Amino acid sequence: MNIVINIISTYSIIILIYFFAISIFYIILILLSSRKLIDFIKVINNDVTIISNYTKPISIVVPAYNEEATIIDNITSLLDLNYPEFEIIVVNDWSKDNTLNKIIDYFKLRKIDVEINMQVDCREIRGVYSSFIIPNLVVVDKENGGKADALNAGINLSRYPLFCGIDADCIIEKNALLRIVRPFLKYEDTIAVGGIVRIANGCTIKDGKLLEAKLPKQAIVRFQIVEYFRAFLTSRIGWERINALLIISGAFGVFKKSAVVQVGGYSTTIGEDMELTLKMHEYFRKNKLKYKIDFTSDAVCWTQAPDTLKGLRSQRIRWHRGLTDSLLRHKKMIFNPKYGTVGILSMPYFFFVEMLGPVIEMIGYVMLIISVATGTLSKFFIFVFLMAFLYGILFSLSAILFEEFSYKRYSGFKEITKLVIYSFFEQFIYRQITVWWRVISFFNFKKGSTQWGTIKRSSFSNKEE
Amino acid sequence: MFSNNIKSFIILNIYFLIIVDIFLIIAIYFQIIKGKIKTKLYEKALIELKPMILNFIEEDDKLFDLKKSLKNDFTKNVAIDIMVDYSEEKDMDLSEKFIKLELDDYLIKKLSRRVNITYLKKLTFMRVETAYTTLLRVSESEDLDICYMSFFALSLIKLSKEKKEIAIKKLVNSTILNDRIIEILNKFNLGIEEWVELLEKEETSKGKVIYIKNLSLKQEIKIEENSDRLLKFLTYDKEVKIATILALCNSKNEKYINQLINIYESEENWQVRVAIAKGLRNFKFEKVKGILLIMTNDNEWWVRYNAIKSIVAMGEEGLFTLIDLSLEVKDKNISDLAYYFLNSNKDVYNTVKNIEV
Repeated sequence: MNIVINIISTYSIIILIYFFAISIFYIILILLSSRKLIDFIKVINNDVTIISNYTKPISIVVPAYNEEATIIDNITSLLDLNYPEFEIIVVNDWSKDNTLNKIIDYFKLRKIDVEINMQVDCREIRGVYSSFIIPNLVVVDKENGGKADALNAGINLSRYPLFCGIDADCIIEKNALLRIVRPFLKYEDTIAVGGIVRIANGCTIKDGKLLEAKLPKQAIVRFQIVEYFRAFLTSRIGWERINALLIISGAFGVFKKSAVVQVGGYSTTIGEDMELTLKMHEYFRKNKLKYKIDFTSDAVCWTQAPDTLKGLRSQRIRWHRGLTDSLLRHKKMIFNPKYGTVGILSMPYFFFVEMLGPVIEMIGYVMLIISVATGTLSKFFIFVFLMAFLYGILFSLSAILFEEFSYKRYSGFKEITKLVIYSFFEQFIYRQITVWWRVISFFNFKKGSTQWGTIKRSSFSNKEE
Repeated sequence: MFSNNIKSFIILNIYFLIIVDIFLIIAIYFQIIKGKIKTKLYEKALIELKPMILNFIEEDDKLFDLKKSLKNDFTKNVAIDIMVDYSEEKDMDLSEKFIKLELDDYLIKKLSRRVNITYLKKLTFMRVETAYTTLLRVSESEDLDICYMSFFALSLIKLSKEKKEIAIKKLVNSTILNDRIIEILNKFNLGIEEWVELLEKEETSKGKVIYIKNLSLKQEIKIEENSDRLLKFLTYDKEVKIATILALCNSKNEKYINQLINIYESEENWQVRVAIAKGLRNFKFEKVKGILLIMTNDNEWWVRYNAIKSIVAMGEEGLFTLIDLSLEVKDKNISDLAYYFLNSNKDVYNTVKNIEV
């Protein structure tokens, strides 16, 4: 019994130090973000560049695999974007469903012959389809190779110096491209910019356009809304401030094509978005090249979040596998001063907190259960967890405050009160479940590197209320 | 399990976190309430001030009463918003009215204390000359948003030639992207002669490229006397040369064709050759057909691509040439490229689909 008490006691100290250290780190990140967000809000409210005619043309690459439910809505919303010059390249990665035919029929496409300027590796392209009615729409049909391979095919087909990777299950706001391109127009060294991803479940969407942002009914999605606020409005803004942002979300990001080609394009991994960002950090820092990876919190992409436990489990396992895989591929950057803020701050943070954090937390829960079972539970052990939960609530509330301070998409007392309540409940059960999924992702974490994450989608128009 | 110190630390932490969490909840609701109150107050001030301001704008009446109403920063900001909206809507210059109400002075003072993009934007759309010195100073900011906005503001003000030139030189040497500089330059109201003078006086390559690109957008570049003055820049470095080639092509003056062909034939840099391939589409097809066909054999893909793109852009004659190219040329890469352009051309498709085979 003494051995058990000693182990629990030692681990309690470890977990206390761990929670306290990451909380302090996260508070610094929040403070960094808040300052940046205040400045940013002033800039976007007063930005004359948005009324400027000058932009850079963008190739929008939409990788698609079994997306027949949402692909038409998605393309329709993209075609309606407010942007002077862009092309849409939909890459069908040999879908098993009717994705390709649905696009061909709906947009009346026909097969064309193209001389492809191969810049990055990708599987064989079986056909390219275009339309005269919509000249800036191209559809590529290729052999199955996964999302990364589909994105690479899109890069090879693209004509413009910037390309935008967009998930086929997303709706991009009308002015989002104008907003996300801004850093490229201001800083010559910008190589990538990420947009903010928001959850579309519950929102009113018609003909590929978001009419009204509303909270969904399902608790599981509301928890994710709080999570997304935290991830995008506090964490990413903070990392961007020190040019150490490690993820440009695959759902919505714009890249300088030459920079992506320089690092060999997307790699076939589960987390191809993080992998690409890490590759660019590594390449540019190693070669002492000036670069900037930016984040614009006003360029909005709406996505469907999984609304079942099964869907969420599969998504979280895939995300964590992607994170682990990318971090291990670039482990030499961890604590390596040669890589600046990325090597000294963000890589260790992602390695010890994002990647290993769930394991440390899960061991804590196991210890808690053992101490309850053996009757050795100290109230201070519970207090350590209480402290961790209160920190969790603090981060969620900060993110809600940031949202209310900046974009106010969910306005009114009622909706905000619901989010505040969910930020409390998130700490119990939801947090533990997601921690568990992230722990089990370590088993066979290489699995599925060329597979697509499959979440059951429904048509966006069905979401109209 | 824990020492007393650690226990106290945990308890203190919990109390601290509970307080911070409560504070955050209050802050969230405070923010909602603040937003609603702010909107209401703004709407109220708008209703009260708008008739007085419109009266002042249209009849220059009741200046004293209006000035008395603008007693604090809030009302002054509302008044500025109303006037800026009005000037944009009616496309009117209200700079004198702003000066009479001393609203320019109010913003200049604010900006001399602390540079703030909100105030800078308001000052930008006032278009007042009194802001010149402040804007020139603020344009030196390292913040690109502030820098861009200051030059944008300077471009909107009616200034003397000397003052304009000072602002333009500063803009050209700023860190703003070249294309955006050109966009702002276009707003400065200068004649072609003055632009050419500025180009000739400019010492840096970057500046020369900007001025040449700016000139190529002017209608007056089609006057031979003006375009001839660019010829000497063909001997400068690559970037200046490319900008000059495109400007000469934009002039549409056929007398430059032979010179451009000579450059193409002797030029080793493929980017310069691409510029010629792109630029030639500005001339009549019969005059440049020969050289464009030669360009389709260039060893650089981008030159070939742009040459064919130029042929396509030149209408029916170009399309027929392309058909010949796709059918007769022995080099598979060239015929494929030609076929691709034909295949993706709407006019060709509409013609072909009506032919029954």
